[in-house]
Amino acid sequence: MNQLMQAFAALDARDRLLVVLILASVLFALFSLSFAAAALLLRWRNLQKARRWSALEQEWEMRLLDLVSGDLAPDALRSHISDNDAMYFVDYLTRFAQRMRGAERRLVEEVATPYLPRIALQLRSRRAGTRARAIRTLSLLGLNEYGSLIIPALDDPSPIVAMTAARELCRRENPHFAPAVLTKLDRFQEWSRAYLSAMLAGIGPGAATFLRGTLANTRESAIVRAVAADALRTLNDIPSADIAAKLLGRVTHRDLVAAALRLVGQCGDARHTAAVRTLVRDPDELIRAQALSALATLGTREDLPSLQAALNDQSIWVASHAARALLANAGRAALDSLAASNHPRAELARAVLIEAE
Amino acid sequence: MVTALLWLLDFFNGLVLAYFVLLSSVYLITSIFAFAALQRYARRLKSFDVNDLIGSSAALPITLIAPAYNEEATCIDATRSLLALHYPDFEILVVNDGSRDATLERLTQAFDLVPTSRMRTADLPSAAIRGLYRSRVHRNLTVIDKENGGKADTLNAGLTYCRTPLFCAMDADSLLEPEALIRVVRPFLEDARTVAVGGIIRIVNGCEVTDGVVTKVRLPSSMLARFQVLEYLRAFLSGRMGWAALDATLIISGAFGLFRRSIVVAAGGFATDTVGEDMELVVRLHRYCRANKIPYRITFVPDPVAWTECPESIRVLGRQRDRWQRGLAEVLTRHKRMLFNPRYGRVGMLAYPYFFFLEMLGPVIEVAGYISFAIALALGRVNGLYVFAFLMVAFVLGMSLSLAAVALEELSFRRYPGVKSLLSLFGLSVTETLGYRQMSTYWRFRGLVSAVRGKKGWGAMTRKGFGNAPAATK
Repeated sequence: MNQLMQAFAALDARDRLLVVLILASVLFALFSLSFAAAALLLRWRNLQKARRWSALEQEWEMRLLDLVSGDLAPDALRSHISDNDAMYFVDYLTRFAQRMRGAERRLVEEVATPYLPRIALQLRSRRAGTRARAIRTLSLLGLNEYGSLIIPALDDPSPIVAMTAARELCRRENPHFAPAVLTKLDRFQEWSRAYLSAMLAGIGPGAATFLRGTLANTRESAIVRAVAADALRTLNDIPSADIAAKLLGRVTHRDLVAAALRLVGQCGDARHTAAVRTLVRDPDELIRAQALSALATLGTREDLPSLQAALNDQSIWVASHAARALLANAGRAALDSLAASNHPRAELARAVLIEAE
Repeated sequence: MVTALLWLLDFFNGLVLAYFVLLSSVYLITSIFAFAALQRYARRLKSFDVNDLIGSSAALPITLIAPAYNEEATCIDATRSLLALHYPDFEILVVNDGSRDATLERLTQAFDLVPTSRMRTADLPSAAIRGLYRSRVHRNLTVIDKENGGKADTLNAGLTYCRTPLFCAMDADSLLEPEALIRVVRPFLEDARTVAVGGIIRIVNGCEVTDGVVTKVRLPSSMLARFQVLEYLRAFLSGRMGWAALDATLIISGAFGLFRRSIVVAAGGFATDTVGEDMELVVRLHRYCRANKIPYRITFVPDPVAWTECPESIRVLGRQRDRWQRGLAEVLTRHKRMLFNPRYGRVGMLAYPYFFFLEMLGPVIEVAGYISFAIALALGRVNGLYVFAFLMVAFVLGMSLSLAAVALEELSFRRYPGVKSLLSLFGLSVTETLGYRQMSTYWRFRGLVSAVRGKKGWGAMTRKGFGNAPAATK
């Protein structure tokens, strides 16, 4: 090596450059060969895998159908699965299980049970993707047994693993996991609020009590309470309207006020109208819009003047909420005349009238 | 004097060499980042079921804005393919940009359009609106008919009537895969700061298309189109994926990108005075968000696919590349304050200088390099062996970068089935450097010259249409 370096140093600058270029050519040629070989090997391996898995999946599908129709016992089915194929079989089971409901689903879960301890070990993997996948598998095939292992994953350093855990714990059949998720909801504040509220609503009416507690809890962050309010609205939870109405006028965080207005608008009644009315002239356009929207369901003829005034709001969004509320409160005549006029908001009135057709 | 000229020649040859080393290093670095990012992404996909989102109220409503100019050949198929997308809550705004053919009539007939009114949600500049039509068959389809004003103007017109939090900007001839919206919306759900996301563009030439959906993926028969398949793989899987991994996305293709409406409207919509309106918007969003201290994220995801038709004639391809280079130059000179500006983080310090010096000015250096090499060779300043060795490095490096992109495709999505396709992509990686690259450099050089001269306009683009539709010239 030293001799080579000495020989290289003895060359003049042009010759050195030439040597560098030749070496670079060889290096990149080797790179090219490696990439091509990698692509070919990947293709070959994938084709082999696809062929083998396709054959195995066909066989497993038949056996699983025998299982759910009662012609094959879980033990008998497992006896056909070689140890080498076990993890892939579990992967297939997760897909198959999603097509099943009730007793059939439980049968599939029973088949998976002996394999799940191996999956649980993957929760300790260094790879976040592997941990997330293990959580999903355990949740789909053994949530009741492995739920206690999934809950700590809400504190996983990887946000994706933590979110996978939250999502899996929010399945309809397991409302008892709701408090665990709600206490960690702060962690997911960077996620879309629509996603979080839909995820919580996915638990079903069983989660309503916990969600109401979160909404009323002044120690929770405003964002978490807003998410809880939106989840309660998705669940159409009538009792939560009282809690939301009490928040109006007491809290100032715009997202929480807007979520409370949406909840009151959908689940509230005449008792809550007064609280909503106080906000139709709020300086914040988001709050004005949501208050007007709530009046579409809670308002009366008494609100017609303020709704008509709101048609001239500087924000087109607020005006559009006002127009819809007007239509819902027997204000069609006002909207018709606006639509027929040269008023700057005539186009909006026409659009809302067409929407209602 | 002669000595000074010869010194200059040597210096320039050194500069070309430095440019070449730098460019290759950037390509290699982005490919390495892309490799790691694709692996991470593939593992993440395994813990996420796209069907979770279908039917979920979590799916943020989206408006697809599809500009249409003289699209009578493809507008019905393209609109049908949009209507068939799998997404719980979306509407389609087809914006007819003053077509001179029967685009509007075809749409009216196919989708039973009737005049309607619609609320303007933004005040963006665009050519005069002639009429608004809604479909009586599909409640989520609206057609806006306007005077001709170009693509950016047309997108602004669509944005003016957009009432959803997100909108998807696309080309009229883009075919989105059925799950494309579900996949592209993910970053918006995972990070509420997200303002724009780009998806991957693949070439539809040669593929089988049924009812607006690509049903069989094949390489095109035309060599020119095949080279573009390879180019797109390199640009998206190595380039955009790598830059996204570095959190420095500067381009989202105009053929398919999802944006947060409120931020785009606040930033002023699409710029109508450039042919690079897609890149211009992304660069402006970086500036707008940083200037207004808005936390934001702009990224790229590799699995939502939009299929697009690529030119198969040298003339049309040359025009397209000329326009792309012109757009790039217009955008980069307009926002030159971002160059090496630490205020813009990695975008200002890495991505912008790369695009400015290597992508925008690269063709000048390359063309001048070919000439100065030839002069140096003729004057005996370099010997033939040196030139051969240099060209050999350029050749094998270009080949290895292309093969790296093919390997990334094989590692991730494997959209081109059959060993024959793979071997064909290998062959293209070898032959691309012998002719196609030089042509491409020439077109880009020409584009830069056009930009300096202040040339405007898009130029005509001939499309064959999907399936058996007749050819159309735009």
